[in-house]
Amino acid sequence: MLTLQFGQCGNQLGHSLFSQISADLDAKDTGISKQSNSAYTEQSFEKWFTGISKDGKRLARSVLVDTEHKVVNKICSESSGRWVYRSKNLVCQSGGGSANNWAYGSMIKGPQLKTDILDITRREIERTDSFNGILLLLSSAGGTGSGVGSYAVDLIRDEFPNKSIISCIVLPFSSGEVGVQNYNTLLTLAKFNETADLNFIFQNEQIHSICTNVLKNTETRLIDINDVISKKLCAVFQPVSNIWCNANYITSTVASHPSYKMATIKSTPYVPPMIKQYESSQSWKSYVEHLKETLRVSALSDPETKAPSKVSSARSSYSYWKSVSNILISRGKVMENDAVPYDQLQSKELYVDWIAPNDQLTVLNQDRRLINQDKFLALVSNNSQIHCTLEEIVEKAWNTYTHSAFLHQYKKFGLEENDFLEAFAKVENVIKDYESL
Amino acid sequence: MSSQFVTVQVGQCGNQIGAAFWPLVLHEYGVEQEDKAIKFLKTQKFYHKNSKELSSAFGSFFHVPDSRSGTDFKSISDLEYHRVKARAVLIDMEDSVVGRFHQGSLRNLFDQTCTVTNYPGSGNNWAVGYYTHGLEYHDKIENSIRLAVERCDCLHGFLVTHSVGGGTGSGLGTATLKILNDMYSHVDRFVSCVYPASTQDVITAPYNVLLATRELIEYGTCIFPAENRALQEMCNANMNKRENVDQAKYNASCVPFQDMNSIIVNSLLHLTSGSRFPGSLNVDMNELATNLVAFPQLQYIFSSVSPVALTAPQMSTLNGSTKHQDELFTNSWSKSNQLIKIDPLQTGSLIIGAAHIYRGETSLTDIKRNIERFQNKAKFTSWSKETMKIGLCSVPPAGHPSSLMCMMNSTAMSGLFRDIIHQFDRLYKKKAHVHHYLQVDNFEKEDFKDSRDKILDVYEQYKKIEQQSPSTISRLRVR
Repeated sequence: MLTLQFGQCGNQLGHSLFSQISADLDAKDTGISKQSNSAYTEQSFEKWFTGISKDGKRLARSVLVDTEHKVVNKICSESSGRWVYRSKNLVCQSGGGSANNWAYGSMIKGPQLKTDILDITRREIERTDSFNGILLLLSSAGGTGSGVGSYAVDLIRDEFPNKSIISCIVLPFSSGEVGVQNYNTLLTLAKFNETADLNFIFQNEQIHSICTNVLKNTETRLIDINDVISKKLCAVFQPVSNIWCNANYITSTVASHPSYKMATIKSTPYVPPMIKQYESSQSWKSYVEHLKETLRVSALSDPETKAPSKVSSARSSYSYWKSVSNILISRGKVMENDAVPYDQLQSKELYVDWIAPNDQLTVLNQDRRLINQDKFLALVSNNSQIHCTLEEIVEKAWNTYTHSAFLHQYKKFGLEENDFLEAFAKVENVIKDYESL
Repeated sequence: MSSQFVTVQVGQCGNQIGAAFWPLVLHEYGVEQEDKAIKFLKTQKFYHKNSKELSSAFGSFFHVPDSRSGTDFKSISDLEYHRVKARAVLIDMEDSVVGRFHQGSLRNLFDQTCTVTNYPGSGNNWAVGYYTHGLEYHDKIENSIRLAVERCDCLHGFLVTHSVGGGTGSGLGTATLKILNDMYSHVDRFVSCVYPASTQDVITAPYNVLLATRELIEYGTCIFPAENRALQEMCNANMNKRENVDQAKYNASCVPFQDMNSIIVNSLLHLTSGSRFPGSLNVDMNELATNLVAFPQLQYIFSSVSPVALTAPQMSTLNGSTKHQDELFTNSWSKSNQLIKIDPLQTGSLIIGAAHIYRGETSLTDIKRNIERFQNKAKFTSWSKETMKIGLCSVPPAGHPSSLMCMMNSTAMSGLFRDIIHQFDRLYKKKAHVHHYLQVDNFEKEDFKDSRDKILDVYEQYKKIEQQSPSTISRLRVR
C-alpha cells in the first residue's frame, strides 16, 4: 500500500495514521502467541513501511504533497515515535497555498507539482515487491487537498491503470470551515467518483460527535478527529487472518458495481480513556447489534455517536438503508461462547435484491488485538445513506451557484460555468443511483 | 521558510501606521527596544514557549541577508549587526514622518533606497498625488518595490497603509497600489486605509475619498477601512477600563496617533498570523479573498480584533474557559470593536462572507459553538450562511493567551459608500475647489463622474443582494 497525503488535513491525517499503525506494531497486549504476532507485524510492516532508517526508525511508504511548508515541516519534525517519513518524499513548493480554491489547486498548483509527484510515486512503487493499492488522504474543503488531490488522482490513474486507487475524503463541518467548501467538495466528489476505485467518506461533523459523545472528550481538537478516522482505517487495512485480503480485494468487494463507489466505515467501541481500565468489553453480539443500528433509517441522532447499549434492543420492524455490499471486520479473540453473530448482518432487508446473497456480506477476522484493545469491530458499508450527505452538499452548492456567488474566483483560474454544471450533473447522478437502491 | 510580506506605507498617515507597526512587530518577535511606549506592554507569562515558532517566522517581515546568522534576535543592535532590514517601502512627499523614521531608534532597519521623499506635499489634492507625483516618481517607486520584492523568496502579499482623505496618501497611495497591480498582479494586495471623520480638517476630503475609493475597488484584493473616530473611541474606552492600566500607560506615552494606529497594527498582525505561524487550521493569506469576496468589487471588509487592548495586566482566571472564549467572540462582533462606525450586523444588513481567525489554544467544540452562535445572531442571504472561514493559529499575540479576529463582508458596508457619495455631492454641487483638480495634468472632469458611478454601482450591488429573493432555478436532478 502506498499512501499519498494531500494538503493540511491529508498530511495531518496521514501522520495520525502512521502513528497508530506504528503503535499497533509495538503493542504488547496482543492476545495471541508471539509467533502469530510476529507474522502479523511483519505483514503490517511490509504493507505500510519501506524499511528502517539509519537511526532505527520505520520509514513510512508515503508521499507528502502540500503547497506550503508549515504543516509538512511540522509533521516531519514531530515524528517522535518509532517511525519517520522519508524526507525525500516531500513534494512541496513555496509561493503560497492553493487559496482554498479547487480551480487554483487542480489547474495551477497540480501541474506545477506533477513531475515531483510522479517521480516519487514511481520510485516508491519500484521499491516494493508486491504492490497492489494506493491510498489517497485528503479533505474536500480547502484548495490543496481537493484541487491538487483531484489533479493527482487522474495522474496516478493514467500512470498505473491497473492499481486499486482508494481515497479517504474528509468532508468539512457543515457549519462551515471554508467559505467555498461546498463548491470544492462538489468538484472533488465529481472527480473522485469518476476516477478512484473506492472512496471512503468521512464527515468531520459525525466524527466530532463520536469524540464528544462517546469518547467524552469535551475539548475535541482536530487531532482527536484524525485519530478516530485513522483507527477506522487501521481496522480495515491492518492484516486479517484471511491472507488473500488486500487492497484489491477490499476494493472489488465493496465497490462491486461501477455506479456505487462510495463507502463509509462504522466502528465500535470507542472507550473514553478515563474508564478504559475499569470497563471490560461487551460481547461481540452487542457490538454487531450496535453497528446494525447504524444502518437503520431513522430521523434520530446517529447511533454511532452513542455508546453501544448492553441490552439488546427490542426487535421491532425497522427499515434499513439498502446496501450494495458490506464487510465486517472483527479484531480480537472470538470464543465459542462469544461468537460474532454476523448472520444478523445478512438479513435480506439490508441489501438490494440484485446482489447475490454470497456477495452481500464478507466477514473477516483477526484474533490479534488492534492497539491493545480487547475487541474492535468495523463495518465497511456501501449503502444508500450516503445520498443524504451528498444531497445536502449539492443543495447548498447549487444555491450558491445560482446566485453566481464566488464564481469569479474560479473563473480566474479557468474553471467555467460549464465545468460546474458538469460536476453538478455527475454528483446528481450518484445521488440518484444511491437513492434508488 | 515562512511566507513573506512587503509593507508599503504611503503619506503621513501611512507612515504613522508604520511607525506604530514596526515596534509592535519587534515586540511580538521578542526583540528588546528602547521605545518607551513599548516598554509598558507586557508579554504574557508563557509566551516564550513559542520562541521557536516566533523565530522561524521572523523572515515574514524582515530580510536577514546572511542565512547563517539564524533568526533568533534579541535586540536592535543584534539586528543592526546582522544587517537585518524591514521588508518595507516608505513613501512620502513631506519629509516629517519618514524623517522621524530616519532619526528614530529603528532607523537602521530601513533602507534609504526604499524611501521616496520630496518637498512640498500634495496640497491635499488627490490629483496631485496620483498624477503629478505618481508619474514623476513612478520609476523610483517601482524600483523601490522591486528591490524589496527581490529580497523575498516566498512573497505572499503586500500590506499597504495610507489615508484616503489627504493628497499624498490618497493619491500617491492609490497610484502605488496600481503599480503593485501592474507589476505583481498575482500577489495579493491588502490595504488598510483610514477614512476621515465627517468633521473634516481637510476641506477637499470628500473629493479625495471618492477618487481614492474607486482606485481601491479597482486594484485592491481586500480593503480594510478604518475611521479615525472609531479608533479614537476605542482608545478612550480602553483608557477608562481599570484592568487596562498597562494599555493606558502605553497610550499616554505614545506620539500622536500611535495609540490609535496600534489598533490597526494589531489587526494587521492578527491578519497575517495564520500565514506566519503554524496551527491546526492554517490560513494562508491568499485564502482570504476566496472566502470573503463573493462578487467582484465587493472587497471592503469589516475587521475587528478582540481583545482590543494589546496587553493584559495579569493572567485572568477566566482565560481559556468557555466563558472567556464566548466573550472573545461576542466582543469581536460588537459594533464598538469595529474599525469603522458602522455595525456590520445592523438590521437589514446581510452577511455574505465571514472569517474568524483564532490565536492561541482552543478546542473545536468551543469554536463550533461560537460559529453556531454567530449563525443565529447574524442575518444571511439564502446561500451565505455557511460561507465561513475558520483559522486556528497556535501562537497567541504577545500580550494575551488567546485572541480572535473577525472579518465580515456585510452589506452594511453600503453605508460607507452612500456617505462617500453624499459628502461628495454636497461639495461638488457648489463646484468648490474643482478648479484645483482640473489644473492638474491628466485629470479630467470625467474622473469625478466615473468614480461616482463606480461607487454608486458598488452601493447598488449591496442593495441588490439585500433584496435578492431565493433562487428558483431547480437542480439538475436525475429522474
